[in-house]
Amino acid sequence: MAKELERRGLPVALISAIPVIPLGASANRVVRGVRVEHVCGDPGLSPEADRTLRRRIVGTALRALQTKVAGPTLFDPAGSA
Amino acid sequence: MRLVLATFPVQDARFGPRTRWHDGVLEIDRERVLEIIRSDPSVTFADVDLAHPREATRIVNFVDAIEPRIKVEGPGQVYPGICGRSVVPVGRGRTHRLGGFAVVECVAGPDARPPVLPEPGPTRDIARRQDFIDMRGPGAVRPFASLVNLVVSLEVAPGLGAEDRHLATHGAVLRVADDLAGVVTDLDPPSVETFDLSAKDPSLPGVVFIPLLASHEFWGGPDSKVGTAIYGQTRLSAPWILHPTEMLDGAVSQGTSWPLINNPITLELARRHGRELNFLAVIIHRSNWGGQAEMELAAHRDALAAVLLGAQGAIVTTNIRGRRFVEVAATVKACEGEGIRTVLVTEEEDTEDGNATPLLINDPAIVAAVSTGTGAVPEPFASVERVLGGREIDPSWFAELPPLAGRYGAHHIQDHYGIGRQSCADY
Repeated sequence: MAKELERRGLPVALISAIPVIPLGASANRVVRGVRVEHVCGDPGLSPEADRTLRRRIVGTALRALQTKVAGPTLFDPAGSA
Repeated sequence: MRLVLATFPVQDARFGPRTRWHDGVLEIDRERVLEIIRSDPSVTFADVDLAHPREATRIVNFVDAIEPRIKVEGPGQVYPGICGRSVVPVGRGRTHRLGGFAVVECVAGPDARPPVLPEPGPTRDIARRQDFIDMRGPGAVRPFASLVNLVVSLEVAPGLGAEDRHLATHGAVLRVADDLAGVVTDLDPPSVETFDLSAKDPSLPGVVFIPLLASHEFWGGPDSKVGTAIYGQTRLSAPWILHPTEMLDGAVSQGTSWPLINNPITLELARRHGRELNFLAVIIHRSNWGGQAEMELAAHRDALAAVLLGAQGAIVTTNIRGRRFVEVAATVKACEGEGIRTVLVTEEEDTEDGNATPLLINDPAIVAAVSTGTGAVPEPFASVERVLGGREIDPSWFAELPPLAGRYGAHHIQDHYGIGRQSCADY
């Protein structure tokens, strides 16, 4: 779906718990998520820490959308705090 | 460790006045089997039938198939740890088995899923019930189609949870299998195989078998007793290192008990021990982790365990497709990275009419792979005269059923080890 949307000119950031799969399928902007059960957050954290983590993941996805890429690229929220 | 495995082949089974094995014929006291099952009051309905290869018979509501085995010498109990059984290590001494025979667990009732309804063209609906066994025709491709099967149809009290339901039904078929195996305890077996893996020849390469076996923890939590278990444990965990003969006593069972205890990879590696290779260990990777880092961690632990054991070669398999293939590729890559020559034995994904690649992950580390087919059954399943496995059988089960696409998630075949007959080509 990411590839189809981009083909129509809409940049896509794909948040995935297992980035190797979308990267292997040639999705251009892949953001590392947490786990399959909770891709965009961690229910094990305190509500405040979970909120910070969720903001960081979504922020990374927004940054990915604004970044020019030449091919499948991984964006890691841990590296962009 | 040394295990003597004695085989009492079952070419024919019939109901009779007392349970006994003689010269390839298993006579079964039907009433005694029913009594053994009904000793648990949570089983509210039980019936037993026999199904032989090449009969126009379909077995529905299939859950698992157990080969009766019994330890006649050495510590422990076969199929250890499950349903409250002993966790004493198995794999030593002497075990008797009924070869070519299985006790088939079929569970019907309000919680059972609806049957497949015939429709034109190959079905790609993965929610359809595919876990039936055809004993004849083009659909008789599962390994169970070649066995003489004692089909045990069960229903349990309504309101039982999944865990209690499992303990009731699997416990019942285990008791039946134990009782049947008991009749060959003191008999002289027609054939005996000795697996002695204690001595290692330093001039031969060391080989490990690394089966990836999905854990039910993702769905059932860490304490679930449902699904493939190692000494009863189903949880996601670091790799388990087993002596190969433990596998032959059923240390790993449930889900696909018969293919696990009769795994041709375990058996062939054990037979070649001391001649072509040293079979060092079975390293079991519990799969279905929720994140890529955990998947890679587990893969690295497999590879380092293999290094510590002195392996130069590894065979890797998996019993589940989809995202779990990331763990498979990571395991092959980690082993190759440690200098261990690694062969992957796997089902292929559905080709989707030529539009999809056979493996979900095409890692260059996967340099040698053996295909066990796509899981597709390209021809329709022929209509049958008899349907076993439940009290009330939907009439649609008697009809011809549409072919199955080998779609990811299709679980009709589950031919992870190349036992069945649905590979694209025979060589």
